[in-house]
Amino acid sequence: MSLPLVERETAASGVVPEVPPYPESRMHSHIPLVGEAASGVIPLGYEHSHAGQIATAISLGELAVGDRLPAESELADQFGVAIATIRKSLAELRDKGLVETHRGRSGGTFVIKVPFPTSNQVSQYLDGISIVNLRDFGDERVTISRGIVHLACQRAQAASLQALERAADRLLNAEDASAQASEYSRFHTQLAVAAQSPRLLRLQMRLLSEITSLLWSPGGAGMTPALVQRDHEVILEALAQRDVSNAQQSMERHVQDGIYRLIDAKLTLQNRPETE
Amino acid sequence: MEFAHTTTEITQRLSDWTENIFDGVTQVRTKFVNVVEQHVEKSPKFYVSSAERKMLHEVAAEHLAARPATDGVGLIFQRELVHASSPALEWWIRFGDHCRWQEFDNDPSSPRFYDYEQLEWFRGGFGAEARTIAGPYIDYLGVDEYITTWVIPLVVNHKTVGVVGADLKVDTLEKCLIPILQKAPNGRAALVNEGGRVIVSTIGPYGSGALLETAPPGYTLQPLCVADMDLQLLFEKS
Repeated sequence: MSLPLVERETAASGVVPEVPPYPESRMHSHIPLVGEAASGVIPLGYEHSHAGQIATAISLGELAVGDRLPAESELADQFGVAIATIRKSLAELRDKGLVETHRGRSGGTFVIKVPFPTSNQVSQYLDGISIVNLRDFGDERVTISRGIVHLACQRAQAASLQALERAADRLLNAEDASAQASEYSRFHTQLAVAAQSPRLLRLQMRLLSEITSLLWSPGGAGMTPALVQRDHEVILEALAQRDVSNAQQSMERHVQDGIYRLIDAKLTLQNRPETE
Repeated sequence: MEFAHTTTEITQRLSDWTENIFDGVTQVRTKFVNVVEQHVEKSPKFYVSSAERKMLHEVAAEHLAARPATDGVGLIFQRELVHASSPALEWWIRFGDHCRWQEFDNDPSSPRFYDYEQLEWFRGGFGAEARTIAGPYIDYLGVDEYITTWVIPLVVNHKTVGVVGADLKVDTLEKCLIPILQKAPNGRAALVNEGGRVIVSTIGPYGSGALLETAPPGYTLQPLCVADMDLQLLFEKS
């Protein structure tokens, strides 16, 4: 399963077009899955794995608000499970307020909300993972992000830089943690688009799917737009100057800062009893 | 929130914890040796029969049951001292609530050959004949986890023939030691291995696996009191 990269990218600008708003919805014949979702890891707080996978696709922006999900029979085919199983997952997504189902000729199941975990879910998740796991994730994201900004420095044209600036502005104006997380994700996805590497874009989306809600949730790193804006501005300036080493250093600092904040958040959470 | 402990109290608690793990490894060595020492007279090379492996298994299972932080335990011979048809590694890993014998690739011509005699834990325990905490390291081709291995020499009839050791995963060490490290000033401290590698840490930039040649600016290193080992505590200068 791979991302529909070509569909969403116009050859001329390399910019991902805005998704048409509901009710002129896009229709999908399958759920585009990436990263953790594709490997079957159930994201935070989902009882049914396919509900979690679909929720991840929505949180990544692969399915936008207003998009129509594939028919139940198509989903059953895609996941290789019975229709009854898919219905349970869709019911869970409805219960969580992420989708709604309409009857009739123009009916179907539509995305109505981008999921964002509760602070409590994020705290529980942080409590359960180790610091060394966070460090290792940070190592991977630093490495991939440095590679992406390197290529973006060499390959980004004015249109890509403008798209990035717009994404940075949207983040600054986003109202709540959930919207901030989604705009943050778009900025960093856009960077990988500017790097012109489909493989790196896929890697980037997997990394973002793992980290974004942890960074923006008040139960996690509790990032603020003002804080991140400073980093984004330095990165954008370096991209405009095609200053590879400055772009890489700023990106590395930005990624590490998020990881250190998560480690601190985890440490303040716990007062574990000692064993052995 | 508790008051910060002095760094001396913290090094003492870390030292006690470390000694306790080595006490366990020393006890399990005595039991392993009781099973294998009869060979020394019988044959020039070690051969572990299936009956003996059953006895070793019981010793390993008992050890793992009594020590929840330990993920694997066993004994490893120097390869040249082992009969060709007997595996040189007798190793058990925790598997749910029981334990399982771990198989390794012992064929030197195989791309997945587990060439343990070159590894830090074997060199420390066997070559240097000293207690060693190896790692953290990725035990590639071994148990394939990010672990530390705590070893002591395996001595049979006054001769060092290999090592006895226990594996502790880095994330388990975190669970056990972070409550102690968090009592340092500002809650930031790290346990540093003999080679200057961070074992467990609450300091973001100097996490598990980081290599420190000297104390970074703003930090101090203080030795632990563990006999024959050069472990250190890293903490923020006040």
